[in-house]
Amino acid sequence: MLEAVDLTKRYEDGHLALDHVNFSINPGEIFMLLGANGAGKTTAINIFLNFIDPTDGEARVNGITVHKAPLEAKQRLAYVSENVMLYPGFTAVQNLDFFARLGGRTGYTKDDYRDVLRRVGLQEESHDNKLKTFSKGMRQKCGIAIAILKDAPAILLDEPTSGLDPKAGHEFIDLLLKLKDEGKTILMSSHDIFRAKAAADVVGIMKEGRLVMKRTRKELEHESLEKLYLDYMSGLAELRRA
Amino acid sequence: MITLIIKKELKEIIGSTKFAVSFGVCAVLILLTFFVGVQNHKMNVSRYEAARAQNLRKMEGLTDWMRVNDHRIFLPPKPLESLVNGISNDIGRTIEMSGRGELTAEHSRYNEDPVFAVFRFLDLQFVFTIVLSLFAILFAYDAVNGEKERGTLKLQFSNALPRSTYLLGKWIGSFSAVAVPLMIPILLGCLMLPLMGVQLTGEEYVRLFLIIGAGLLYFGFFLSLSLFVSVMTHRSATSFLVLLISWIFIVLIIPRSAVLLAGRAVAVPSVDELSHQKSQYRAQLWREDREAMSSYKAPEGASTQEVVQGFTRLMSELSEKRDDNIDEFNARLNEGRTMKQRQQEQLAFGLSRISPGAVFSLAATYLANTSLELKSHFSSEAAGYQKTYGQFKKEKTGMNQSSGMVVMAVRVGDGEEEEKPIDLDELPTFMYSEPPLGELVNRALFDVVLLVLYTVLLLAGSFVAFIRYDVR
Amino acid sequence: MFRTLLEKELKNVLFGPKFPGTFIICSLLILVSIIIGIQDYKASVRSYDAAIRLEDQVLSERYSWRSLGTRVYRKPDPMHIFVSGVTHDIGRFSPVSEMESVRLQRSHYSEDPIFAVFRFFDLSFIYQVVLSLFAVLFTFNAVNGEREQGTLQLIFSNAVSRTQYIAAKYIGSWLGLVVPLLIPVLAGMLVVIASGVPVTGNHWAAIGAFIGVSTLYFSFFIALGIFVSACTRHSAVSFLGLLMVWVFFVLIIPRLGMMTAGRMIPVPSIAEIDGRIDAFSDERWDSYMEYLNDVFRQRNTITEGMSEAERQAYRDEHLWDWTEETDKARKAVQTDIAAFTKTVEDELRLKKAAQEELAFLLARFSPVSSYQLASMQLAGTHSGMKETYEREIARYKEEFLAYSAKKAEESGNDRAGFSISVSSGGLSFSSGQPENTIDTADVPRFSSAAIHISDVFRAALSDFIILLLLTAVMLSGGFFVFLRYDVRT
Repeated sequence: MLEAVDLTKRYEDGHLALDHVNFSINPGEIFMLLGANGAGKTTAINIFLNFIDPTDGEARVNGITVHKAPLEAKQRLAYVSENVMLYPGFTAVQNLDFFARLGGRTGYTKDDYRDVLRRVGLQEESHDNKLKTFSKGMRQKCGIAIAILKDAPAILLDEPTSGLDPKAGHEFIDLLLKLKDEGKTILMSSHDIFRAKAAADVVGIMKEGRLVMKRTRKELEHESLEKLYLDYMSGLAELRRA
Repeated sequence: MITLIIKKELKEIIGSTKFAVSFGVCAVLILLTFFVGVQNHKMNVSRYEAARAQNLRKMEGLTDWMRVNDHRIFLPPKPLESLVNGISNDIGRTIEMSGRGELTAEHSRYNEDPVFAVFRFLDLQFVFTIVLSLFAILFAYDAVNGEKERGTLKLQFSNALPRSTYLLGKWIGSFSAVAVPLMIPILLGCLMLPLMGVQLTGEEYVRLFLIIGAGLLYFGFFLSLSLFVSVMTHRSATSFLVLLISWIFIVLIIPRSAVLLAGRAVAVPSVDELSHQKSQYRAQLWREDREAMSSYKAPEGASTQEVVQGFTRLMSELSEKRDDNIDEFNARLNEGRTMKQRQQEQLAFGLSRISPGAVFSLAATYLANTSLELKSHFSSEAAGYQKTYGQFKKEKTGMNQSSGMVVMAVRVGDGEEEEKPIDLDELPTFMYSEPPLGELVNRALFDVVLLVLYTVLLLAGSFVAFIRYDVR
Repeated sequence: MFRTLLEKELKNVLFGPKFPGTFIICSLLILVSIIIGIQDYKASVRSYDAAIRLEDQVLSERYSWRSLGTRVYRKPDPMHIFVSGVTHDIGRFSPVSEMESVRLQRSHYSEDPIFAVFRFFDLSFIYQVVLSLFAVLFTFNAVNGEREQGTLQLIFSNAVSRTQYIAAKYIGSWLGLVVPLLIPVLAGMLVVIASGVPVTGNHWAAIGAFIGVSTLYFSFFIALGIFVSACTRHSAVSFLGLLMVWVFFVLIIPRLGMMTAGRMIPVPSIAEIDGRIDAFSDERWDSYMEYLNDVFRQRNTITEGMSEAERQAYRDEHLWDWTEETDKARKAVQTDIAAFTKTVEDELRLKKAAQEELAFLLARFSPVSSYQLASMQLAGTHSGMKETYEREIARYKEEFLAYSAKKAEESGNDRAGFSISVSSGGLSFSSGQPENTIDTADVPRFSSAAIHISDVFRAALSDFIILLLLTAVMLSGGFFVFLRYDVRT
């Protein structure tokens, strides 16, 4: 469903953000990208969304090359950013309505929006409050609600749990698993090794623009992800391999 | 998709405090402008009527048309003038009429009441050029980069949303969010005119609506400019600063400097110089004629009456000829000055049209007939009347000469009969008519098209720039 | 501590992203306005000199002192470079002759209306509109912006007193904005000197006062910006609020004040005044005619019954008395009319003054009006300049007419006109052209009364004080409000 083929991005300032990254995510699979800040996780997601063009290689959504047919590709994508920002002057429901329509879903009723908001764990009384009164966690929930409403086959999440309290983080993972059960393809970047381990079907670790490690859930059953992560981060793993 | 963006834009703007405040201000201002315009118009009309009545009163009781020598005509005030002042307060509005010779318009309103010249008047042109343009900037300065700063741009473009659709929706949305509500006070203002007793003709209504249309177009230009700058910059603080500076230049600096520059570049001969040359020429002719008069010899044996009649004939012949010469001379001098003025005007307006603010002002004043043409139109209408009046004087007095002429009245008979006062109803009235609608529209057309062009150009620029805009 | 805060404020202004661009633009505008002003001044001096020369020439080509007339032109003043005021709106000259009344006519704008289309721009305009806007732009987020950034919280986690902070804010912003802008202004003054504009000591005093008032006006907007910023939590709110305030202060209130006053105290138009005077004089002349009729009838009744010779003798005897009698009556009518005219005109002047006073009072709801009025007073281009000028010209007119009358008497019979005599022998025409033109070297010249700079200062003082007070209110308001400001992010 989501494919990265030799994905390379070099910024104008010469910084190599992605270096021939390859991966492929099947429908109903959760792919978790781990890595330090600046490792290239967000760049990869941005290329899938055509926010930036790749320098080389391509990102494909359901076989569609993103930078060649961005609109078709984006019809099949939902996106939740690290810091979901919505229109501060609109209520949660109004925001949902706007973005759902923008995603091409016009058939929803107000009740549908309320249902989804309840489903992502947003209290009933805040549904008609303006977004400017919302905390970060509440905004993230709205963001997910928007992604759910779009009902796209693939969902891209860029560190959606950063800044959430543990309970909310937990609920979030539950939600993700449910979406997976519905057959969604999920690409998510994160710092959070524990959650990654709990939810991911495949875990990738990125470092300096390269995808240095990729393990399936099965493979990870016998290894400690924390140790792997730290090894890769410190460069020990490469040394060992060498 | 586009309707969705438009709707969102509408909702977002109309729900904001910014909108409530600025709409309130604009609505009050517009209504005030109409109110003040009506009041001013009424005052101008009553002053105009008073001046006309006074003009006739001065002639009352005169027994000879010969003695009517300070007949005046006045530029009648028009309601649109009070809504778009233009230069209507700056030019002379009174002409002292003479059967022939040069006419000068005097008594501009600001000269009569300089206190009003200190801050000038509030009119539609002012509200549109200065206030509404500022509000256009206020509404659209962060149209794109603001959404980027807030992060909503990213989320929107994670959907299958074409960039051009987004931009167009944005423009239409913000335009209709502000322009449509503004139509309420504008229409109320228009309604105020007949309710407060100012009757506009059909043509005047058409012109008023065209002016308002041009104003909205001008508003659209500033939206496009804001959109463009917003697309060209990444931070809304930057785009606001850039826009404010552009606003200052477009509205306040360029038009003024263009005219001042053109004033320096094209030297127009001074009026004083011309009037001096004219008076010298007149004096010279007068000297020559005087010699001709002193060498007049009456035929031998003529009776006194015949002598006087003969001399009078000579005098009026001479003065006729003299007036012809003077007219010709003046016309030549004036033509030179007018030509230079035209040149200056062309350069000044050409330069100032760099600024859409000037373009709108020109279009509005053309439509309201308060542009520079008002002065020349009044002059030509007055010249037309002068012909009728001269004819009339000739019929009544047997001669038509420029003022300052020596009049010899010769009484024949005993003069016992009671002299009858002149009948003022016979005096031809000055019928001022404004140029026809077609002509006014024609004059304004170029500027309106230019305004459209500027708007389209900037929109196109925004589209091009937005294609490579980094939405992250 | 205070020093540190002050330095921070100064740096914040001077090295901020807004500063370079705005500074360059403002400097440019200030210099351009002064250069344009100089050019305009020089052009008007040229045309003034030419006009004066022409008037002199006209006078010197005259052959007779009788019915001599001239024109008095308004002299351009270097102060017009900085504050053009109403100078282009009021007439450039007034006729001075027995026939015409003193009235300034043909304004620059009415003669060349192209310059009226977009009007003028001068230094006071730049201050009034552009610099005030920039002052607001630089200060609207002075306090609440720091709160939003979170730096305010951090600052007050140290031992900083609130007064110290807000004082540093005011002083720092003031120094950072006012001082740099004085550079182009002073450079402009150098340009004025270099271009040879005749600037006297009085002018320098007035210019100094003008720059002072302008700086005060600019300071008011700085203080206003900081005050509003300290009154609000969000910079977006203070920005919108300040922009509205600016629009009202600069663009709306002055105009509205003026127009409201025009509505509340209507001043009769010239035509109405003329109408009243004419009606009065018509009436007086009518009654004079009636009186004459009565007198004639009386005289006729006396002589009735006399023989032709007796009648003639009686008439000859009384002719002188009679003439004197009617002459006196006629003179009485003339004085009456003159007195009435004066009353009406005084009434008009009083009404106008009342209207103006109310107009300025209402306009002064906005400090912009105070600034404009003060600077126009300092430059002598205020709305009263027309009346002042006309008064002075009227004084000159008396002098001029007296002189020419005296000369005419001295020169005796210099009939410049022509006379036609008709007799039974025929018609003779004599054009009594004297040989020589008159010597006009000693004709009194018009010079406007010397302006005492102290009078000028006094006229501008009230507006200066108003500005000072308003600025003080903004300053203390800012202090007061900030004492209870919630510094949390």
